[in-house]
Amino acid sequence: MRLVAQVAVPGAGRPDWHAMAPRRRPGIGPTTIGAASLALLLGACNFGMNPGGTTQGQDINGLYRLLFWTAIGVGVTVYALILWSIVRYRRRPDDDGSLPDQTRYHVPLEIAYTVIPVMIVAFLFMMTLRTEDRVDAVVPNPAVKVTAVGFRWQWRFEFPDSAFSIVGVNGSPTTGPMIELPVGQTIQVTLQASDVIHSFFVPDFNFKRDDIPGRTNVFDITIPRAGVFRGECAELCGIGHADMTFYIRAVSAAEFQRWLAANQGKGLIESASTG
Amino acid sequence: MSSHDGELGGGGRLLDWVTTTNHKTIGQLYIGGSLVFFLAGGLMAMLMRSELATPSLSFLSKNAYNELFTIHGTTMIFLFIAPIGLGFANYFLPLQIGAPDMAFPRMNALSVWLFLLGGVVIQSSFGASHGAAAAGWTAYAPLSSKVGSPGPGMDMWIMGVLLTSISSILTAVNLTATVFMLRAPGMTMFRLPLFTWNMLITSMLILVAFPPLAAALSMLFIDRHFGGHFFDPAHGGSVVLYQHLFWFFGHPEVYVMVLPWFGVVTEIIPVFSRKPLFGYIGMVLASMAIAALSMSVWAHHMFTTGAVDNPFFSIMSFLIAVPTGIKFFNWIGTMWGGKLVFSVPMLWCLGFMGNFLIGGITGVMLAAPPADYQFQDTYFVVAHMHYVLGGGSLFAIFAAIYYWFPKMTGFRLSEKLGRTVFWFVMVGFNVTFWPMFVLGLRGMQRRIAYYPPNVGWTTPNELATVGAFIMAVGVLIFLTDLVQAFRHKRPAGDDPWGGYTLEWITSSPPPEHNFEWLPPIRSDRPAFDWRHREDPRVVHDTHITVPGPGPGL
Repeated sequence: MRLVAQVAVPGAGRPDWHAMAPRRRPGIGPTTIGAASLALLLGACNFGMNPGGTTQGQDINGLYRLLFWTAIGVGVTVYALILWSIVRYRRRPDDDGSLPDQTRYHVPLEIAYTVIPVMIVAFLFMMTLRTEDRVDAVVPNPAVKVTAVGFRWQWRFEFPDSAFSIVGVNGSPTTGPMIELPVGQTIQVTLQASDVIHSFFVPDFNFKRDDIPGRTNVFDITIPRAGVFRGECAELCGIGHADMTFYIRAVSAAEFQRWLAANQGKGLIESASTG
Repeated sequence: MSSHDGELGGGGRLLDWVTTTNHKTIGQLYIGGSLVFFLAGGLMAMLMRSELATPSLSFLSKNAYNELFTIHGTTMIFLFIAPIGLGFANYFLPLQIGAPDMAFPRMNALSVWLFLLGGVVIQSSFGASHGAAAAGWTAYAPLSSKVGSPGPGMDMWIMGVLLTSISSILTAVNLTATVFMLRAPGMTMFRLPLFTWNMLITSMLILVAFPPLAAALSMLFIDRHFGGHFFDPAHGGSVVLYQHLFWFFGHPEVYVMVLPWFGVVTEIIPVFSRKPLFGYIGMVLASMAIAALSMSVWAHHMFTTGAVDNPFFSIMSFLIAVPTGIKFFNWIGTMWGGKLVFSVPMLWCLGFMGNFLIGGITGVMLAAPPADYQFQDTYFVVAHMHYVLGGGSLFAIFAAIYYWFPKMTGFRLSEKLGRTVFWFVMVGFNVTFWPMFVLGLRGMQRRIAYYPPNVGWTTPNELATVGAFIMAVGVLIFLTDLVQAFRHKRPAGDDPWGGYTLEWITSSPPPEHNFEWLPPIRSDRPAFDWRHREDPRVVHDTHITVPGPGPGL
């Protein structure tokens, strides 16, 4: 695809962002095979959640791992009990027809399987709160401010400090806007919408937040490593809902400054695609 | 006003069906109507799964897809899972408490016709100009406003859902009054069968949850047609307000769709384990706790709005796992040391436990707001919710059908076909919905008809579509089973399973006013006590010492 004709992209020409988006294919070689198997193993342990393209996303991934492994532990225990009951207590072919013990209750046991789950969820809740406080924390003076405005059916990314915005063209998902953001700096994203609700969702960040008409949402992200991240709209907004793709390209702070300078004062820049 | 005996199912006149006030006939209308809507909703699901088998848009239009998932959700929730529970309650709740009918038979007839009318209004909206509603089953404002959703489809959706809500409220009043007023002598509250208990608690939930829904929908209608600005931020309205109102209904609604089936499973497992229910009191208290907690967790559907950062909603959502866990352990405790018989109803109950467990533990994961920032509005939520309502409720619905069909018709379903249906649906269900967890974690948002081919979503989607077709085959075999049962008319007998509750004392199907006689009711399983009346050990064992409020009020 051809992308964002009018946006100045310093450095290389026009890479295929689509192919670079999430899952990259490693080349063949012993190291990569080893790395791939390890990644596969870890991926399986993760049950598929992204490691997190932001520090906040990494934090969320950590909480997810805790929840996931707790769920596995609880699940395996309960399945084992169910399977044991099925196998051990099935009626045998040589059954004499007599009634089994008509047990009705066992109060200490019932108290135990009430209290233990309470302790488990209390612990999970505590860990959740700590993560939530970190993920939702907003600093007063971020290094970069960007406003993402969702509309039917594209995004407009405003950089108020540099007097330009990049707006996607309503249409197919391949024409989504691409913005650059610096690595290692606190980026404050402000969300707005005026027609219907949209939701700013970058799967690699393990994060989404809604763009709600009449309401402004703000969150901070820090992107530790360079890369290209695919974003989408997560809240149903009509027939173009699936077309609201956008891309975030995380680059070094210096490169980001060059990109800002190149677009400085240009006002509204359309990320048109010629096809 | 004519009423009928249960042989109506064998071929009564049409007028009798329309004018009946008999709770059993009304129950059959509810169940039959719900099953027709289930097939309609299932067909919509098959169309969606076929579309999603390939990344590009293949045979549906974008708008048609949005209409399909909107009406699929609406149909399954408002026209299948909730009303079929009310249908079984209509039929079996009076039987289980030894009553001749419901407390308000004419209101009962009104309920079922309001429900069927609402369903017809919703389904027929496909023929409206601009098509059916396409804003999702949640109809979030402002997408559901006149601007976002022009055309009468959305209005028909609002009115259809309102009709079914009013129907549900009336039935809830009726069931509550029936339980409190019409219990047979000896049927104290703590001898009620668990299905009846859960329907009572479900009715309470309906009474609290549905009025806010009616309010939200009325406000939406006023916004659309009479210049209201409830949900219009440009005129001082609030978009988030709609979500608060909707989910204040929406989360209790989940338990309206689940508690009846907890009740069904709690009826069936003891019978097929040849043991009494383990932890009866705990089970009742757990149902009450679930109902109470479910009223206080609505905002966990709104974590990503940024408008609710109160951890109250998170801890309450976590806590629901506790009473649900108690239920699981009580079911296991019931099986423990029993002599399990794996007839078809029991198979469905075991399938229910296996699937619902996954729905439950992923529900705990969703209770954590930061994790929800990733899961919300992705296929992870779709998978979770289908494991609760499909793997949970649907499996228990099949259990209820296979368990009670002989009682309702007097005929037997095929054990062999029943097993085949079970395995097709069990395998198909998991092949369909398991990959959706992966899709959600890989970032596939819900409610899209096409997706990029190169982001790792294609294979799980293909799998899910294959699974859906396997499930569809299972449903077709199920329909065959129903047809052959009515054709061969093999008599089932009054008590094919060795049931515990009063419906198994009377004939299959029961006579017009249900009972010619009643056994003494001294525990929560009077039919069992009666069968073992010569066995002093059993009578001693089944004596319940918990005092109840006594028969009648």
